[in-house]
Amino acid sequence: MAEPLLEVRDLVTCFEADGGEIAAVDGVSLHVDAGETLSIVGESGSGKSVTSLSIMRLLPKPAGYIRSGDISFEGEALRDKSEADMRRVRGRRIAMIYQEPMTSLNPVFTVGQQIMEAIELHLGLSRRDARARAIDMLRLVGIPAPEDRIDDYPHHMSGGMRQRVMIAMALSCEPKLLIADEPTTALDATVQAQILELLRKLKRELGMSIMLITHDLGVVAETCDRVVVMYGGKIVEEGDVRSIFRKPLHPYTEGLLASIPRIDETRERLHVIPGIVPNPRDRGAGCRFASRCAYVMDECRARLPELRQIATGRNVACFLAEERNR
Amino acid sequence: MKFTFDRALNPEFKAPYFSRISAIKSVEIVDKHTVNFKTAAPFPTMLYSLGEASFAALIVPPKYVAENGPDALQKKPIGTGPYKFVEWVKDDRVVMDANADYWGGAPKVKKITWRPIAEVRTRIAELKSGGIDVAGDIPPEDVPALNAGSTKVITAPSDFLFFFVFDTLKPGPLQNKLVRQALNYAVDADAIQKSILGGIGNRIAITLPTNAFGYDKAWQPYPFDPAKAKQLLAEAGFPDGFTIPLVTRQGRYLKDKEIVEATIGYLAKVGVKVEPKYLEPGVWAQVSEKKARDGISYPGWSGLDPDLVWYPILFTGQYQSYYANAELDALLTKGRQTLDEKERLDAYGKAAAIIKEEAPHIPMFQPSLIYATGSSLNWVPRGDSIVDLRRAEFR
Amino acid sequence: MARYLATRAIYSVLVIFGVAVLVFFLVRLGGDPTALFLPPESSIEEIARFRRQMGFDRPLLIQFGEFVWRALQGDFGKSLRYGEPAMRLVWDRFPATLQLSAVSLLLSVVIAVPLGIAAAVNRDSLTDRVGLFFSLVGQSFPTFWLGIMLILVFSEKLAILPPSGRGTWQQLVLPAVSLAAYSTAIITRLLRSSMLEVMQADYIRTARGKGLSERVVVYRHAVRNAAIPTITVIALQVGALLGGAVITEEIFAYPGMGRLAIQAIANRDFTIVQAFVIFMAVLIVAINLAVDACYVLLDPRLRKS
Ligand SMILES: Nc1ncnc2c1ncn2[C@@H]1O[C@H](COP(=O)(O)OP(=O)(O)OP(=O)(O)O)[C@@H](O)[C@H]1O
Ligand SMILES: [Mg+2]
Repeated sequence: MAEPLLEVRDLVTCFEADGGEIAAVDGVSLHVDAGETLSIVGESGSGKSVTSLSIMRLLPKPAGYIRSGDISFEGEALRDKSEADMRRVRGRRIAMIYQEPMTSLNPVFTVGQQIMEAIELHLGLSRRDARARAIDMLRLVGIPAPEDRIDDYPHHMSGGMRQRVMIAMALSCEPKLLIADEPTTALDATVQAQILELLRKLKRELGMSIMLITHDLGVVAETCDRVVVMYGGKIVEEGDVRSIFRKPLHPYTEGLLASIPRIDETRERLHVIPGIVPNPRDRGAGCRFASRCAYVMDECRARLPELRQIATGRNVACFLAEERNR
Repeated sequence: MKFTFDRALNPEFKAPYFSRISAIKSVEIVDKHTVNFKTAAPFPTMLYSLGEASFAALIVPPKYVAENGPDALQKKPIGTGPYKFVEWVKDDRVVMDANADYWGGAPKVKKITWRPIAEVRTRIAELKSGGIDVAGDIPPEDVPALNAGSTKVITAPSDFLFFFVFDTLKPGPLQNKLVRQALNYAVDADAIQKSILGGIGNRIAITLPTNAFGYDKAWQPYPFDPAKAKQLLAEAGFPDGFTIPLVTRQGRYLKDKEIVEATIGYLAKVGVKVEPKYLEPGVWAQVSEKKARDGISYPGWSGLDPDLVWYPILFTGQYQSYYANAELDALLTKGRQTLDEKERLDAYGKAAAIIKEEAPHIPMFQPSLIYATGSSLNWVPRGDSIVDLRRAEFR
Repeated sequence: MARYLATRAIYSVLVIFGVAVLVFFLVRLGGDPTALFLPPESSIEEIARFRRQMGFDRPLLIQFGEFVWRALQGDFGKSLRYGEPAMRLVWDRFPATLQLSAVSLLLSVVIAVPLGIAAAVNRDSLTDRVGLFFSLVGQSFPTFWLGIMLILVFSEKLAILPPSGRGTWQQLVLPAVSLAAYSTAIITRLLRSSMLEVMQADYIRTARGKGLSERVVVYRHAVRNAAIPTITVIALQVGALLGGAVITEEIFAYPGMGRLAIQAIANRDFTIVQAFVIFMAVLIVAINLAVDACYVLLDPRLRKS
């Protein structure tokens, strides 16, 4: 088997908060293969963004830091890199689209300036060529009249437009891996669909890998090859899209799937998993989903179920996994 | 001369300090070096008013004014003084050069730069760092430190007077002579002078500068005797004292607030409760005009002749006077209507006895002008605040 | 835009008028100045005559009306003491004050901007602590006290700088430093805290995510944003500096407007006090307008598309 593009092993990322330390990401291992789209799903607070910021080494300093684990990208250990070397990875080989399209652009520079900055830096283009490329990128992401919009300031643009600009910026240097952190949650449904369609198209055209973070499984089905489901800083289930959708093995995945709105459904209220994500501070010894699980057993409260292989490419962290797989 | 006075006496001209010369009616030329002053009444203090401190009528050269217009003098003054005007940088400095042809002999100090430095610490720092050679208005507490090293302190008794005034015109305890004497006994002015003024200045027995015409060194102030004060108060019918207002200003005179407060402290000890009111200068003036300085006041005055001091502040009906006594009025009138020195001395001696006995004031001090200079400067300052460097020299 | 400017202009005129009303009546609270221009032994008739000549005997409202009417024609009356037009006296001393304030402002900005940025970027480092300490000191020491201290140390003890006057650059050092201290402290603190805030912003993460160097992130992306709130404070400091110059000029015997004003207040030279306050009001209003324009340059969100 070829070496994956990105491989994360046993990542533990902590935050120092109010004198205590919390593991926002608690032993996550995952990989992204070349040309593949991996989706990370999970409710709010499950550690998706922290995982991706750990990869980029953009954790908020000094509160957040990687406690342990390895991150290797194209065979290079990112954690061992100097800050200067890391800068040659960011934006060039791994690019990221952030969760907050409204605030992720600098309000005092035109969108063109912000896109060109990366192009000039990484591709060494002259200002003129960089501008031409920035216009091309804006056109690529579907911004009408890019020659004019390039000189707009972010506040002139809607959220969807800004997210397109972010995508244009991220793709401008043709990265190997694009990390898209909930690129559509802040946007309305039509725009959401457009952006996802755009990502799919660009991935095909540019031949890159995508790590798509979302808490919306509906998005996953149309876009991704494989899925990683996170809960409470841990991976609870992992597998290819088709098998996961056909037969979710972890009760949490099941719950997430049940909450996807379907076009044929006319129910007013969606199915939501009852209960809330437990505070990372008072996680017990047992399964982190135990308090909300419909199938909970005594064992679940006593011991943390390991993530283990159930079938090829299918890992689940639940004591009932084998049973449910039958 | 004649031109100067005709100009100054014309009310249209609005001469500053006009009142000082208003008694002069006309000036007539006798010959090249002599003029005759005609006054409406005898004017025994005229020489003070026309001396070097006369701002009302400084000699003006008619030809210069005629040729250059009336405003020229202000911008490019000329004269016959010991120094020649060189430049004036507004608010920063006035520079003068010695006049080698001065009729009184060329001054030794060749160049003077006058600089307004309002902040006392800055003034002292300039002096200490050699930026200036003479600094005026030195606070008493800085005197010991400046009397050492490369600097020294020079003092001169000023023409100024610090004293408290009793309002004897309005009904109240202060109309009683015994009370006024008692308050004089109650205040230890010597102690105040020592602690607040650093011992600098002259204690005065009566409200008159010690170097004024007619001041008799034998005069004695009321001694400090609180027991006697209490006894007199009891005699006057105030065994438990009384409460009385006091009006003054703050920051007007050297250590005025401190002196007033110390005095209030002494009066409290004999049972007289004083309620001080510190007035803004403009308000003080309005109160004065209405003759409303009730109770005790701390006005300040100056003048080197009894007629310049006692007449305005003790003569019946003068607007600054809070006292009325026909006998005293007669003596003061006599003093101002004769030019005979002996007669004047006699009248003022008698007046002084009345003032002492009647005690319309608490006379305090004739403060000193305190200058600090570089230790090499040899200079005797004048008492009227005018800095006269004609005879000053560096050793 | 034109409409905006018009509102601002009307507003400015109102402010200046308000200031004129205030100063006119406030200076008269201290009583009538007549007595201060006459010797103590003046007779009651002389006082009355002078008052009539100066027009102080008329009702205040009439005096005020006349004041406004004349002021509108640019006539702020003659100084009671110097006999020259009050506004000209103020104007004559303006260059000196402008020089002092400008040098102080420059000093503040030159010190505060790098210090504030360095403190924020190296949060909790030695630089940060030293910076915080000095800004605390600068903010809590009154200008007056600081001025006297500087004089004691640098003029009296070390004798390396002159304590007063104007003309040489040495004479400008102590007043400029003591005047700049407060502004430096304020600007440092504010810039530090707005830098800290900006450095947390999402767009800074974006900038870093592009692979930009920290220097570019800080000086290009962060400083431009942190400058926006800082400019307000710097502008406010211009007012504070001009106000502080009053005290500083008095301490250092510096021949500027402030000193003229203090003396005018002491002398009850109303016309100068009025001219000075109105001059300052116009100046500060003008500065505020300039700051508004500055915002538009710095913050594209305020620009009309
Ligand atoms: N700056 C921070 N300081 C302290 N704790 C943090 C910080 N950022 C994240 N965390 C912790 O990490 C946990 C995971 O956060 P993360 O942002 O990765 O969640 P997420 O899965 O991206 O959620 P969402 O869907 O809302 O984006 C949070 O619950 C929080 O406890
Ligand atoms: Mg997130």
